[in-house]
Amino acid sequence: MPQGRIAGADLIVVGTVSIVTMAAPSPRVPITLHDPVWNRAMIEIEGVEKGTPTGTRVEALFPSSTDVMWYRVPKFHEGQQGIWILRRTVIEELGVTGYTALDPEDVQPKDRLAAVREALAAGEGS
Amino acid sequence: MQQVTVVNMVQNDQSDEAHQDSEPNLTVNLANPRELAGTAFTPDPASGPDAPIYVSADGGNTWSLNPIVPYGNNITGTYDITLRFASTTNNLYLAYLRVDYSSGFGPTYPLDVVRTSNYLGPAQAVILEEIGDRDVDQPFIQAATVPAGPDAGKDRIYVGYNDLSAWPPGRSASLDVCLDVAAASPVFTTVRLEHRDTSGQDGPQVRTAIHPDGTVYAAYYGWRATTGLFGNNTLVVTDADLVLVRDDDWGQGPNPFTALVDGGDGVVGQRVVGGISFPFELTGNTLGQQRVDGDISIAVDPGNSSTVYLAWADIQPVGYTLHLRRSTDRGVTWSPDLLTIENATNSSLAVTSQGIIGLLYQQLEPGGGRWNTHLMQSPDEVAWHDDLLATTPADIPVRQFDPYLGDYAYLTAADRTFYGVFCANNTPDPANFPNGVVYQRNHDFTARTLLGTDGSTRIAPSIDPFFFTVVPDPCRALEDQVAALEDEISTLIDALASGEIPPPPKTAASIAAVRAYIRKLERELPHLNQRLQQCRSVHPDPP
Repeated sequence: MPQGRIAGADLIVVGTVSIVTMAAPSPRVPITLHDPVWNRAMIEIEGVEKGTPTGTRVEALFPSSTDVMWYRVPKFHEGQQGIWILRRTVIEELGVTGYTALDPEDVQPKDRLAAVREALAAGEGS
Repeated sequence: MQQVTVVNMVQNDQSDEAHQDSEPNLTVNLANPRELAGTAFTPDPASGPDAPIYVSADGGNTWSLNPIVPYGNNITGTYDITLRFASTTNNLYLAYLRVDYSSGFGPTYPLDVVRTSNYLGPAQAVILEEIGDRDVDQPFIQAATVPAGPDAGKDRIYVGYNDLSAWPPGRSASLDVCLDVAAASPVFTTVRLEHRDTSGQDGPQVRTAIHPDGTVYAAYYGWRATTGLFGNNTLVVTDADLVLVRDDDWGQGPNPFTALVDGGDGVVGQRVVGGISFPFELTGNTLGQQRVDGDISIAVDPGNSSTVYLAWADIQPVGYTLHLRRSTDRGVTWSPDLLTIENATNSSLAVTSQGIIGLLYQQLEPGGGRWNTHLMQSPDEVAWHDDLLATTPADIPVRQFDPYLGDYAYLTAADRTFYGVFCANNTPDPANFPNGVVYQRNHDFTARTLLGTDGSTRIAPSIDPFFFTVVPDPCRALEDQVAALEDEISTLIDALASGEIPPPPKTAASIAAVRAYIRKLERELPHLNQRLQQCRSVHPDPP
């Protein structure tokens, strides 16, 4: 379990992605080949393991690009279930601050919940 | 006799790897051409903090990895990375992109320029410049050592890149110049190459060519109009200029890279071609799994700085197409297409000391089944010899990320020899490499399979970098022409004798027309043979 990612997370929730949309639907100039192509994913929260969400759902931003710079970053899709280890991140391209899961270990399958809780408890105890 | 060597660059102890090691680059130490270095999207096998470069000290026969590039990542090493030896000082310079999360607030994408004076040693390369506060793309470096005059011995580098922070007004084609980069505290100057309005930005390809007399050329796509959306993979550059700028004194005057003024609009930067259109793809769509986003390559004749070549790409009714043109008056006027190549990308140009122009490119076969990597070469831009370096499956492996093969490949020349690098499917099938191939990693040519470090486990095909050298025979293209003409004459004579031609209804006139055509070809043959003999009188012993 990614202890460092869990310790540094602002919000950890169990949930299901309900909607994915492009974050910047209008043509954006300038463009680099490494543009993250940020998308928004709405996660319907089923449980909160860390942090305090403002409602029953939370919006996360993720780079949908398959470019070399972003292909290993988790992609979200509608209906996807999991444990989401989220951090508040400044997204300069969009001029916003939002929750992201940029490390491959920031999205865990639901059956890893016990391990996540264990890591959280270990972090609190240390 | 021409010599062709192709070497898979993955070292033997990495025989288990199946990574997409795409987007290669290469440099040859002109002071000692047995010393070479390369790059690709290759992580450090030891998962250390530095990214590796490929190194060879035996002329490219064997390669190993040397992790010396600061701020590596364990997935692809770095992102866009290119490298060059200076001409005579043994210094190696690299320019590359990385992602930096260290601020804790979000990712930034710095461009770093680094130097090592010992590319084989373990010492980390020294950071010379870091552009961390701007949004930049595709750094592409060239380097030279000043050969004579008051600055003799100084290393100079030119890093072309797209500076998207220049928007507005969007004149983003940029060049960072350092006139004494081996100095203790090198000073970099940013030159904005674009002098016209853009659609919001220029293209990412900013390519330079340096001549030892101080002439430096730079070429870029000036974007004038676009449609579609990059995020939807529908962006098309509908109007672009291929622009060439030039400096005649190393780029060190008060107004660098302003020597070429377009006669049409009176603005700095010769518009070599206008009205260019091409897709600008996030992910491969036009050419199989390979994304296309424009191609630019430039080379200057080492024997004459007035002769400069440009290759570029556009979209034609037949598909994504490469073009090659030449200027003999320092970029003012240009030939028509010397070559036009359909469904091809990753063009790279170089000129040998004998004045032989080489064009490296990768072409997707009709039907999309194979990627064919070619080196075309010509002593006179009329007769061309084509070496097929590799013909490899295009649908295997499935792309891990974009770019599949790389947004560029690379060709260079040292003295009379071409050196190059390309990426391709690494299946060890001798039929895929018509001029032969050497593998360092474990393999079985008979079973056409890769083997792991244990020598027995089958390893899936992946994308690897392949190094090659071609020692051209300057008369080879003429020999090809003579052989082709002799073959055509022979075929026509046989077809006439067998009644295969002319097609019915056969008349005395149609038979006479065929005979006349054969006689015309037969009259051309002695002239060609004479040119070949003249060539052989100059080059009696093919290298």
